[in-house]
Amino acid sequence: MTTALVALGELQDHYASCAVEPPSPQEPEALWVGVLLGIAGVRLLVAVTDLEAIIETPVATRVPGTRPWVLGIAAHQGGLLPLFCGDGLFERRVQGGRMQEYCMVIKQPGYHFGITLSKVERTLKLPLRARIDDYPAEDEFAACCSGGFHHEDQFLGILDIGKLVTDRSLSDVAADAGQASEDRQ
Amino acid sequence: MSTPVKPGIFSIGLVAIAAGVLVCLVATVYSLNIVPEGTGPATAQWAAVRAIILLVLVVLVLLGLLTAVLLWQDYRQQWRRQSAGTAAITAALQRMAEGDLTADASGDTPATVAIAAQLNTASERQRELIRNIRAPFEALVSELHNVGKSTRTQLEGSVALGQQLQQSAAALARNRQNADAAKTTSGQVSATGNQHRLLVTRGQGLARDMSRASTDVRESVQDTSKSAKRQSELIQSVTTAAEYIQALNTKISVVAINTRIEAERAGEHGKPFLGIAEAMGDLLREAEAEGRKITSEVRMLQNLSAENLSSMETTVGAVVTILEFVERLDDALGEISQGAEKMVLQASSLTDVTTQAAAGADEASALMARISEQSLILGESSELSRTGVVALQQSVATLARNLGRIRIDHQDSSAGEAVPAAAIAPSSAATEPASIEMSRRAAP
Repeated sequence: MTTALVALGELQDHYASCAVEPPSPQEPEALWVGVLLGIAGVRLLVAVTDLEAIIETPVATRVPGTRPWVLGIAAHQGGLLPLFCGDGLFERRVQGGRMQEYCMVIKQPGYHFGITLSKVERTLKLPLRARIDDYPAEDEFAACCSGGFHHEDQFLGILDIGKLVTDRSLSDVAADAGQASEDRQ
Repeated sequence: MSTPVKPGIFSIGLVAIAAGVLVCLVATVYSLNIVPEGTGPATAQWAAVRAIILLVLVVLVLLGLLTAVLLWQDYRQQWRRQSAGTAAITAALQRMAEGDLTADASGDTPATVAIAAQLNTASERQRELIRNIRAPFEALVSELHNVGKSTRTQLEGSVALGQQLQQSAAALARNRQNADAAKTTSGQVSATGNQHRLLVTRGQGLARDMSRASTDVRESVQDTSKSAKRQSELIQSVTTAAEYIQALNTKISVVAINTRIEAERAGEHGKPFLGIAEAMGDLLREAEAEGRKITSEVRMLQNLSAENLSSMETTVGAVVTILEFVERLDDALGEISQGAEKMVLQASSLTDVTTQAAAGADEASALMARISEQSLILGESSELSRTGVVALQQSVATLARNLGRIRIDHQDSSAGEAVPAAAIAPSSAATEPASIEMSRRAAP
């Protein structure tokens, strides 16, 4: 009797020393959710909350007197949607060749437009702690990006729609916007 | 020739005769008692007679003495003249004996004058004879010199001929060896040509087989090329499908993204859509990965197919080229076969020619051996001739030296020799170069 209790005690000690502890529930990690897409051949991340939708590039009507990267006005969900060329907007070059198939629709207070995309990949959920606030590259996207993530051995910048819409070029798409302001003065 | 009477003895004889006559006369007077005795006239007469007799006797004695002196003087003069002529003749004879035929003998006495004239006539005849001998002797010397030179030239020619014969014999031996070697080689060439013909025949068979095989390969490759083209078309279709799938994936991705956007916008109400969007995103990731893989592999397959197609086209071209080469090879083998046949025929004719050349070389060797023997005999004869000419030249030189001692001209004591100096020295054939002698010994 005593022997059985002792054996059970030893067995309990043995399992207590050798057994693996049960995993403790991890804290849910804060994730940043965005869409990986390409504008002017550059892979960028855009926050899901900044996007209204990604649609196939609709047929647009040219608007005379606008800048070259303004593709025109398209119909979208019963309304009008200004459509900008991503290549022209960020790299200041006129889009040529094959029509880009998709565009992202951005709807911010006072702004509702679409920007053509060179590539649509997928949604990404990345740990928020891995976000890098400094955008390392000095290129056309540096002014409208807010940090980024390292993903698949590549730095992906986060396109900040807020910075983008505050850009004056989006506020006035007239072809003679600079001259007009001088004439006004 | 009688010895002349000495004048002293002759005078003494005359005086003795006269004294004897007187003594006999006195004796006769006294023997006849004619001498008177006592004194008287007779005695006085006798005394006068006796004085006269004595006087006559004295006169006679004186006359005898005078005569003896005169005779002695005459004898002395004659004896002197005779001695001078004899000495001149003797001197002339001595000079003649020494070879000076220009010596003139002279005499005072008739006997010596006659002897000197005979001697001069004899020496003149001898000079004439020597003059007559001189021209033929010079011709003999000249001809002998020429014969010596000719003999030496002949001997040198014989030696050179012997050397040339030796070289010719060696060359003939080499030709014989070369002919044998050429015969052997031509036999080997003939055998090799036959072997080449067999090999060429086999090569032609192989070329025909290769041509058939190449034709089969070409047809097979062409069929394969058709299949590859069909495969390429299929791959293109698959590529198109993959691209379509990729486009569909993009569309699905767009739908998933929009779903997620809408779900995020809907807040708590959009959570079911969020789950759907995430599920779609997961499926899409897998589909994209597989799609990329398929696309990559299809592109690789397309590239491989294009390379295979290109390779097959190259192979077809190569096979066509091989067929052309095989045809050329077949033609070349045919030409090689004909050439080998001609080579065999030429080798056979070469064998005949080399056999004839070997026989000719043997005959030439035999002739050369006989010529060598005759050349050897000729060389020995030339040597004998040379030896004889040398001996003859030495004899002529001796004779010339001996004749050169005889003077026949008065003007020149040295140039008056009977034989020219060139004839005195032995011919150069006597002093033949040792090289010629050595060559003559080396000659066959």
